[in-house]
Amino acid sequence: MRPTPKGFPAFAGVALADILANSVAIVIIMIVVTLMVRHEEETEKLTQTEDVAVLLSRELASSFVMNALPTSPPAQLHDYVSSPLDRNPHHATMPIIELHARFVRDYYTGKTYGRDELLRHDNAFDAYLRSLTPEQLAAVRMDIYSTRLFYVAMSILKAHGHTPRHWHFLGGGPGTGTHTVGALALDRPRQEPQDAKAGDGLGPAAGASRRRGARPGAWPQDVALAPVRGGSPYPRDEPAGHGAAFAADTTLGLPGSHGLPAPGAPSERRGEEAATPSPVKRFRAATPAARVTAPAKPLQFDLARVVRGLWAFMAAEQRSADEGLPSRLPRYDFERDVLGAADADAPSVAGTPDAEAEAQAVRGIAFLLAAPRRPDENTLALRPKTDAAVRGQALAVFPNEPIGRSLWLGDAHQPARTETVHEEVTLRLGLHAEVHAGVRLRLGRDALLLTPYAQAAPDPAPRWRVVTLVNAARDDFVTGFVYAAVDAAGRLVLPMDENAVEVGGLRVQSRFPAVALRGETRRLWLYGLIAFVFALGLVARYWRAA
Amino acid sequence: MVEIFGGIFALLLVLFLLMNLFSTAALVERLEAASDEGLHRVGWGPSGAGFVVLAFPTELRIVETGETVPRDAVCAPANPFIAYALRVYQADKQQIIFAILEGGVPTMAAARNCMMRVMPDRALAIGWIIANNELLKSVSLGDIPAYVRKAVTPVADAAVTPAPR
Repeated sequence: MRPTPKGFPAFAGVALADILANSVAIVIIMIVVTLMVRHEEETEKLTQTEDVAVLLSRELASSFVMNALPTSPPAQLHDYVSSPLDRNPHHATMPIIELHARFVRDYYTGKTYGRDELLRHDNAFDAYLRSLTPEQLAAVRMDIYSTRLFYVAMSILKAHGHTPRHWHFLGGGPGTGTHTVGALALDRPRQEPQDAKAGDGLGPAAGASRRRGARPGAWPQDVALAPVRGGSPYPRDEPAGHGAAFAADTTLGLPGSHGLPAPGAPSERRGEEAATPSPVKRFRAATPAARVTAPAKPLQFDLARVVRGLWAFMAAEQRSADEGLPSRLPRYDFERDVLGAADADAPSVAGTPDAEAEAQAVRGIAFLLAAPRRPDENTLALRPKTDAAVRGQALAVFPNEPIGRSLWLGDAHQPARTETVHEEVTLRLGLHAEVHAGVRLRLGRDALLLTPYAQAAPDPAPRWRVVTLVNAARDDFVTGFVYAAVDAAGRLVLPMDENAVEVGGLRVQSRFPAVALRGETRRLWLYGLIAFVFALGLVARYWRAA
Repeated sequence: MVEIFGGIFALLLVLFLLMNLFSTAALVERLEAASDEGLHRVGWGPSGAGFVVLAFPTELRIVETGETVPRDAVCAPANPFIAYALRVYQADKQQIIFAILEGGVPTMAAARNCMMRVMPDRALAIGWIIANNELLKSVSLGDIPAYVRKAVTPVADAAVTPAPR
């Protein structure tokens, strides 16, 4: 035997040999297992390939490809963000059906239809399709996350005599990504919008100009598969623009508070925070400031007329949204929509006591708008409060008055907070009464959230509401949709999740309780009970036999 | 003893690597053998022809060339799919047909996005076939369920259920 080197015990060589021998055995096992797995994978892929070959063989190709498949003619690709097909996703104009691995889902209501349900004759999905008008059926968009239920869903749709107008193929799906529950999803810092910088963001014109060779309408059907191009879907916008988008000769001339009686004491105007009124005002829908076009000629109006017009326009838009009609905000025109509405609404303001109260409220808001603020910082004070009526987390602010501090509401499932937070708060202002297209705006101190006059009544059910966000400098008026309720105190309660609220640059996500007694749990209990009864029977039988 | 086992261990490790390489090469070879005209090229009448690409959950397989592209590298520079797509779309009335197998939607979406990125100024057309397990099994068994037949039947021939207004 070779002499053991000094410092090593005598059994070192033997132990090393044992280790190597075991390693050899392990490697052999690894090789065998790997070969088996690879063989299995190869077999599966080859089988699938051969099956596709069968599918595309000359006999079946005629039935499956040439005539029958939903995309039988070649289908043109388009960008699903900027395409005119997806310009205004709304249930009234474009029902959206999502295909998932285990269910089919209505995009707007979130109602799901499982496979078992779909395979039943005259099922709930049938009933849903029957509830659609022929125009809606002809405009159906299918979002495919999984192909498992494709043929089942298609057979039902075909039974109603229609095929989807166009398709979205989406990688991943809702719920497949990593979800961080809790107050702040710390691992999701805000992505600065690339769309606005590149000039290739939301909006119908962006993608259309990019794809110059496109021949719209040249193909019988359409496919839209692109995900949202990198970055946030809601370009961040700075409301404190001081009218930078307009040239000096195209400003909206505002006489300020001429002719406005001061509704409150002069001391309400905090002199140390008051700023010089900007002569340039910008009125826009929830689109990035860079896309706002200036009017052809300077407009003359007073703030009371603006408030009346905004209220009337917002009220009309709210009625449309409540009735499920498409939003008019993408075609927002200040002179036509706001000033026109003010003129049309003017006669009803005078006369009755209600009208007088409304006129007084108009003068009050106009007075606030005539007093711009220049806050020292862009943060907002958020005071935490537990509120059982809120689902998840929400932000509560008083509408139609300068925002001083707001409540950070949360139900019992949210992390406990005690201290007031001073952070920059931004939220999404939508262009439609849907989670689609909009801008991210700062909700700063002394900003104003204008809501229609009639919306002051408490309404605990959150829904899409039209608001106008006026910045502290009072020179940027952005009208759009938020998802909100009105509490008993008259506060606008904005759920954090639906409004994509960010606090300190971080997206706030609510924590929701797990579903109690899920189907799997119930089945587990049932099987356990059956097993227990069975075991009990066996024991009793052997007991009696003994 | 130590030298013997050490040598065997090293040899087996090398063997393990070689086996992996050979098994991948063998799969490509077998697929290439299967890529006959009827599989990789589908006549589309007046619309031209389609060239079939299989979208698996983790990879994209170009049937004509037998090349494989991992899903995460579909749009990596100088990968076979980009070269293939550019070649197919060089000619008029030619398009790629994606055969989307079970779980292959994200792969197909990645490939489709890549095509739009590399050919931004062209009107691109594609075809696609949902070849999920359900359909493939039924086809190979020669027993296509009624609802699949209904799904692939042209609308004009389908039993139309009038939708009440």
